[in-house]
Formats: sequence, structure tokens, C-alpha cells
Amino acid sequence: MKIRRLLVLLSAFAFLVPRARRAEWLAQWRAELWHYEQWLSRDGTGGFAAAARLAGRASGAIPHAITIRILHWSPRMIVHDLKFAWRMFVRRPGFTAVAVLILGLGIGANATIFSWVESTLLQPLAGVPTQDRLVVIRGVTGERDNLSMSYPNFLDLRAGKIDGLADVAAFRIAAMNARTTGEPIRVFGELVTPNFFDVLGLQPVLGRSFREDEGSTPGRDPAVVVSHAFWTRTLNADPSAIGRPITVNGQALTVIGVTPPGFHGSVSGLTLDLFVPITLQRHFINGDRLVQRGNSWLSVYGRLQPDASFERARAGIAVAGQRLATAYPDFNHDRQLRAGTLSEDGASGILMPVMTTLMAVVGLVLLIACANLAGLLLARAAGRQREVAVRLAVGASRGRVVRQLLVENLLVTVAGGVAGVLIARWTSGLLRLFIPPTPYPVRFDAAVSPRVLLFAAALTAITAILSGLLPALRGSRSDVATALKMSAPANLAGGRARMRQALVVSQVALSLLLLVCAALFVRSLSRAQSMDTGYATRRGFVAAVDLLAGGYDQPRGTAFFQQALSRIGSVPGVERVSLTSTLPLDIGSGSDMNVSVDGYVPRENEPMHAYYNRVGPDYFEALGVQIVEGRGITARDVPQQPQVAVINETMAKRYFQGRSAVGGTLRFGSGPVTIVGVARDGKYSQLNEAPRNYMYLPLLQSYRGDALLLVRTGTDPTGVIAAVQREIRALDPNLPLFDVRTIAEHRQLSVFIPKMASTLLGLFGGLALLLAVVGLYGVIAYNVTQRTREIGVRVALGAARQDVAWMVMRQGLTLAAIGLGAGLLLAFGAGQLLSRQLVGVSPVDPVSFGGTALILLAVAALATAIPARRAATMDPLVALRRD
Amino acid sequence: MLAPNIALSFGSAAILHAVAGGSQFGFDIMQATGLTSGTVYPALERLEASGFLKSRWENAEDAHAAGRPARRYFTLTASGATALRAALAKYRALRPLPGFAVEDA
Repeated sequence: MKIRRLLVLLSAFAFLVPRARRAEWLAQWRAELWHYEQWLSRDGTGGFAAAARLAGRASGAIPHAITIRILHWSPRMIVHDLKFAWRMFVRRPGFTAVAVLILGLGIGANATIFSWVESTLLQPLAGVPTQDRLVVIRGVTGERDNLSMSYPNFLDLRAGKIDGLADVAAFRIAAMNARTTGEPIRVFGELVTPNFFDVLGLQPVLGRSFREDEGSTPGRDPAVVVSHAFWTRTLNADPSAIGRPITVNGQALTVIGVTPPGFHGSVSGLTLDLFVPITLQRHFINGDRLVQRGNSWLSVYGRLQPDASFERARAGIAVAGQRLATAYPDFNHDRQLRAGTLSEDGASGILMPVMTTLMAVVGLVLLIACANLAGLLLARAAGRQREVAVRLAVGASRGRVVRQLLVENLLVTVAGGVAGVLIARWTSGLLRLFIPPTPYPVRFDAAVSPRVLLFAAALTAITAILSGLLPALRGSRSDVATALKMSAPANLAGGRARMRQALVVSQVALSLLLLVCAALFVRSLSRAQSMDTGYATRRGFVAAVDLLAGGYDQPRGTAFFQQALSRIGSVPGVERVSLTSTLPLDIGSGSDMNVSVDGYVPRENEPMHAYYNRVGPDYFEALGVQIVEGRGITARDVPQQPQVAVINETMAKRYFQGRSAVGGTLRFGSGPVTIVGVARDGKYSQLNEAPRNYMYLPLLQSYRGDALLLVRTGTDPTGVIAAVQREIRALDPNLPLFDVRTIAEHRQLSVFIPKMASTLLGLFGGLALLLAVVGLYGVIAYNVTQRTREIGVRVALGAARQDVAWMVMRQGLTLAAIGLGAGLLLAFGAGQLLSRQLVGVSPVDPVSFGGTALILLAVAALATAIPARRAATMDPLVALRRD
Repeated sequence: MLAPNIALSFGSAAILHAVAGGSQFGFDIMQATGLTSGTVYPALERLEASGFLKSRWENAEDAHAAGRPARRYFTLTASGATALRAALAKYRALRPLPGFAVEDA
């Protein structure tokens, strides 16, 4: 009997139907399935097919049940609930205001952080449609990941067709000097393959994109597609700009198209303005990279075929990688390809840990807010016991009462959600302050988008249930007879009081967790600021020049650098001047390469690599790095002289083990390099990095056209900057100086993460503490009110006032202490997770833990002292006369 | 009672059409319209709540005598008839086509 079994199954869903209509609902389906079965058997359908069709038909019972339920709620009842809820809402403005404020802060904090996450992680490439169909293709070797690809490898990859991918495109970010009319400006753009816009799925709003043959022959096709922002800003939004040339890096390029307004390039988090055929590479990035298979410099995106899954493409990409490795073993022998997603790319990859931490933190804040609101609701439920008892006594079902209480809470949380969105609108702009200062054009457009609104709405709903359900269930479980008898509600409130206490304990624990983390970062920040980084210079500035973009080849570039150094060196106020490729502790300052050291035999599997920097003459003097042995880089270290290098102490100790490193020989790339000096160790990439091998190579020997001018000044550098700019302009009026920043500003960069973390965690931790303390105060104050009579009796019988006060305080401090213990355990775990972000501070730092615990106890004592005082000064006569 | 000029969905119109044509209970209406059970049963509830249909249960003895479970019969109300007329003016697919006369089985 199939029908009976189906009906048993259906009756499991009977709870969806209002009780009064359950029997009818089931009877209707009994009839339906009976008729259908008859019809099927007449039709000759039997066995499994009939069973499947019956089950399919029976599935309609569930939407049916839901419809009956929704119609049962019907507008009248909902409106009634809402009207009543609104009356409760306005009748207690104090309660309402506090609840809305608590929720507004909690939801606002979450919406703010989410607005940022949404814009960088969930939609990494602004303005690119269906970007979830884009796949990032990266190189992988045994020890390294996220490698770029060479142009010849890319051409083979594209020609070989990858299973699951419709097409692949390559691009590379490049800094450019552009000039339309007037001053040259510094912009960022991309070198792209001709199919770049097709793979991204973009159509220009004006003009056209590249043709397939444009950008396949090196040196030809001087065309450029400009961003909408560039077109508006620099070309005055003039439609006739299409077809006209602009000068980019000294080349006249014809503007052929304008991208859609929302598009900012294919690198997540950056704003890129010009898109140039990859075949013009020589004018934008040094080297002749279009023919070198060993020179990897391109990022590659692929678009999935309409019917292909990411998994299929992943396999296809791995196969293509194998093919490249087999075809060109010299270059690709241990190199594989792997598929990645956009969200691990670009700026979002760097920001990911920051964002996950922040999301966790604001999630905790919301949890605390929920606990707080639940505490308030429980307290209020105590006051409404009699109302609830009356409702139950006149025949309201418990479900009806729970629903009424939930609707009331929903109204409060919706108001809180609206407040939260208003707060987020304002604070999401403030997040801009936390963008690290970099030379790159970082894009920041966190705003309250529809998705953020949806997120806030979902949070509001969750909050309403999380904070309201328990109090509503508790509140509706009323012993009618006792409650209506009016007096002695204390015993009834027993369970409720315990729950409020538990809520307060959890709030104290969570706020302690946040505060300890904040303290760890504050300590981290102060350590970082006073840390010896290995660079003594404090007054000075750096400014970038790009000779490649300025149209210089190596001989002219070398001459320019030499002239510039000598002219700037004689500017009044300049103490020392040099050149460098990167500044230590800059964002992204960490190139390394494989080296071998003559006379040193590496252990098995010992990685032999060193980080390096290219520096000009006088670099060590200009930045204040001590030379402990030998000499620094000088003006004599030019291409005609033997190749030299200065290494750091770590590298000298590691490879020369007690012998002098000066005179030793290094090998990397071509030819031997003689070590001429040893420089003191410093911090190169991060303040909390382990000691690492580091080499300084003369910039004039291993030439690069893009460099930073490093100027040490005797006094405040601001006055000197303009004079240096004049000197550069005198040498070449077309060459812009960009990314000018003082050494002091640069030093702030290295403490950026601890600074941001301590500010935000401190802010949220303070907020959490405030909420927890208000919750603690509420519980104790309420308790004193409940025990008025008892306290009155005690005082009347001769209890000392300080004993009464201590009795009250002890209760509050016990709760705080339990929360403290739990919070310390949580913080211990969190400290382990954060240890990689901390600088010079142990994750179990006793000062952070102990100090925070003391502060929390002190604040808790203060919060309980107020009700304790009230209890102690109670007039026993008044207390006893109270009902 | 809701105003009859409220727009009916095509599915709802088809169901009213079927009821008016003599298909009076769930199974029959599904046979007449070809709609799924997950569409017809919820729609019947909504149409009844809107006052376009009313329902009654078949006498249990009558059903027992016929050897089947009791049926819930739906009939068109006055406002249901008005709504159906408006829907038929709108949905030409529900009008009879000349040359396509349908004979009752």
C-alpha cells in the first residue's frame, strides 16, 4: 500500500499546517493520491514508475501546507501584532532607544566591514560581468607559487587550447608617463593581449577594442584604449578624442576606444587607466621580453566555456602545464600550471587576513549586542509576567504569545538594522583612512550597495531570532495561577535570572577577548615604533623617476643618473643623495634570487637564495646603514668595473662561518661577483621577519630605468623637495617626479598593520566593554530591586551596611570573574592565531592579559558599586513597606 | 471581498476556468489544466481566501458508498465568475478556437 506510506511521510510535515486544518489537509491528499493511483493503474503504470509519480504528486502537499499557514497568518493578525508591537515600541522610549542603539552599533559595524569585503573580495574586478566565470592561471614550482608566465609560453598555451576554457588573455601592469597637453602625468596602465577585453567580456562605450591582429607583431600597432575616468579627466570627455594620438612613454599612440565607466582594469583593488598592446612592451618595461621564454612577467586569465565547470578547467590547465613542461624542458621542467580564483589575486590577496580578522571581530561585537539585547528583553519579560499570564488565562496559545513577543522584538531589531545601515553609510567612508599608503593607485569604493543592504537585513533577521527567541520562550512559560497572585515573583524569575547571568558572563568573556587582542596590538605598535630597523636616517625623502617610460636607453640613463646625483648633491640642505630600487619595509619590497657562494657546500635540500636591492653610490650613508666590514657601494662601481656586491651580516655569517666575507665570490645569473663589504642586518620586508640573506648590487652595474632618488637632509625635507624637482626639470622637462614621500611618512608605513589593528580592535573592544558593563549593571540593579524586601529585613535585623553592600557587589564580581576566566582562555587561543601579526610581543604577553583583566575588573566593580550603594543606603522601613 | 478587477495569473485563471467547466476537486482540476500538484493545491487555497471559490466536503457516506475517499468540492462564487470573465477577456489562450471544437470524453 504505497499511499499509506506516503501519507505517513506527509504527516511529518503536518506541523506546517495550523492545527485546526491538519485533518482536512491530510484528507485532501488522501483523496488526491487515491484518485491518482486509480488513474495510473487504469493507464497501466505500475511498480516503481507509479511509486515515483505518486511521490512526485505528493510533494505538492508541502507548498500547499505552507500556503495554508501563510493564509492563516493573514493580514489581519499580522497587522494586529504589529500595532501592538508599535504601542510597546513607543510606550517605553528608554528601552527602545537603548535597544536600537545597541543593535545599530552591532549591525552598523558588521555592515561597514562587509561593505569593504564585498567590494574587494566578492566583486574583485569592478565593472567586469560574470567574473565568477574567470579563472586565474598561475605557475607553480616545487617551492614557489603564484608565478607569472613568459610571453612565448603564453602564446603556446593559447595556441594549444585548454579544455574547459574558451580563451585566455595575458596582461601586465605598467607605470606610464602620459602627456596630452601641458605637464606630463604619471598614470598606471596595462600591457594587454589583443583579446583582453573579449576574455573579460567588455565592450567599449566609445570607439572599439583591439582587433585580433592588433598586438601580435612586435613594435607595430601604436593604439591605446583609455579608461572612462582617464577620458573624462584628461581628454575632457571629448568624443572626438577617438582617433587622436596621445603621447605615452614618448610614443604617439592613437586612442581607439573608451572602456565602460565602472571598469578599472584587471588588477583587483587598483585603478588602471591605459590599455596598450603587449607588443609595445619594449617602451614600457625593460628587456626584450616578447622573445624570452625564461622571463616570466605576465598574469593570465581564462574564461570558462559556457558549459564547463571550474573543475574541468582546473584539469585542463594542469594538462596544458604538463604540455609546456614537456615541450620546453630547459625552461619549464619543474614548472606546473594551476587554476586559481580572482579573489586570491591582487590587493585582495594581501587584504584577506586583515578582512577575515575584522569580520570575526565585528561578528563578536554583534554577538555581544545580541546577548545584551536578550538580557534587556529578559528583564522586561519579568515586568510583563502578569500581562502574559492574563493572555494565557483568556485562552491565547503559547505559540501565539511567542509570536507576539517575537514580532515586538522584530520591530526593535528592524529599527536597529535601519540605524546600522545609516551608521555604515557614514563609517564605510572612514575605512579609507585604513588604506595603506602605497605608490600604486589603490581603489577604494566601499559603499552601502544593495548586497550590503541584503546582508544587513539578513543580520537583522538573525539578530531578532537570536536575541528574541529565548526571552520569548521564557516569557511565555508562565505559571498562570502564581503570576496572577501578584506578589513574590522572585522564585518564578529564578530560571530567567540564571539566564541573564549567563548572558552577562558571556558578554564579559567576549569583550575581554577583544580587549586583550587590542592590547596585544597596542603593545606591538609601541614595540614597532621604537624598534631598531637598521636604518638611522630620519630626515629626508624619496621620489621616483622612470627613465624607461621617459624614453631612455641604458647608456643615456646611466649618464642621467650620474648627472642627477651630482646636481642634487649640491642643492643646499641635501646631506647625501643616492638611488635605490626599493626602500626597506616598503610594500612589496622582497625580490629574491638563487645564489651560490664559492667555497660553501650547501647541505642537502638547503635553499640557497638571497633577497636583494639595487642601490646607487652612497646608499648606506644616505639611509644610515652601518658598514661593519669592507666598503659600501661607490661611484666607481660602474659597468666597466668588475661586478661587486655588499652583503648583510646574516649572509656573511651563514656562508663564511667566521672567515671574512670581503673578497669572497658570489654567483648568480652571469659571471662572478666579488663581495666588497658587509652591512649591518636590518628589517627588509616586515618588522617581524626572521633574519634573512640580503645583497646590495650597484644600480649602475645592473641597470634599471625605474629608481627612487633617496635624499638625506639636515633639516625638515619639505623645503628641499621643490629644489630637487627643479634640478630634475632642468635635466629633462618631460620627466615627471612622482610618489614623493618623506622618510618619516615611509616609517609610518611599516607600522601600518599594528596601527590599524590596534585602532579598530581598541574601538570595538571598548564598545564591547561598554555593552558588557551596562549588562552587568542591569543584572545587579535588577537583582537589588527584586531583593528589596529581603535587604530591608536584613538591615532591620541589624546587618551592617557595608556587609549589605559587599553582598551585592560580591554577586556582580563573581559574574565578572567567571567571564574573565572564560575570556582569558579565549584570548589565549586568539593570541596564538594572531602571533604572526605581532611584532616583538609574545602572544601570551602578561602585560596585555593582566592589564586588561585588571581594567575589566575595575570597571565591573564600578558598575556593581552603584546598585550596592543603593542597597546599603536603603531605608528598611520603606523597603519593608513595599509590596 | 476583493475587487474582481484584481489581475489573475494565467494559472489561476486556468483553474477557475476548469472549475467553471465542471472539474470540481483537486485531481480533476489537475487533469483539466495539466498543472502540477504544487501549483494547483496552493492556488485553490489562495482563490478560496480571495473569495473566488468556495469549498465543501462531500458527504462521507456518499463517498464510502462509491468506494473512494471523500472529496473536497470547489465551486465558483459570483466574484469568481466576474474574475474569470475578466481573465478570459485578457487571456486569449483560454478562449475556444473556431475549428477546434473539443468533445467531452
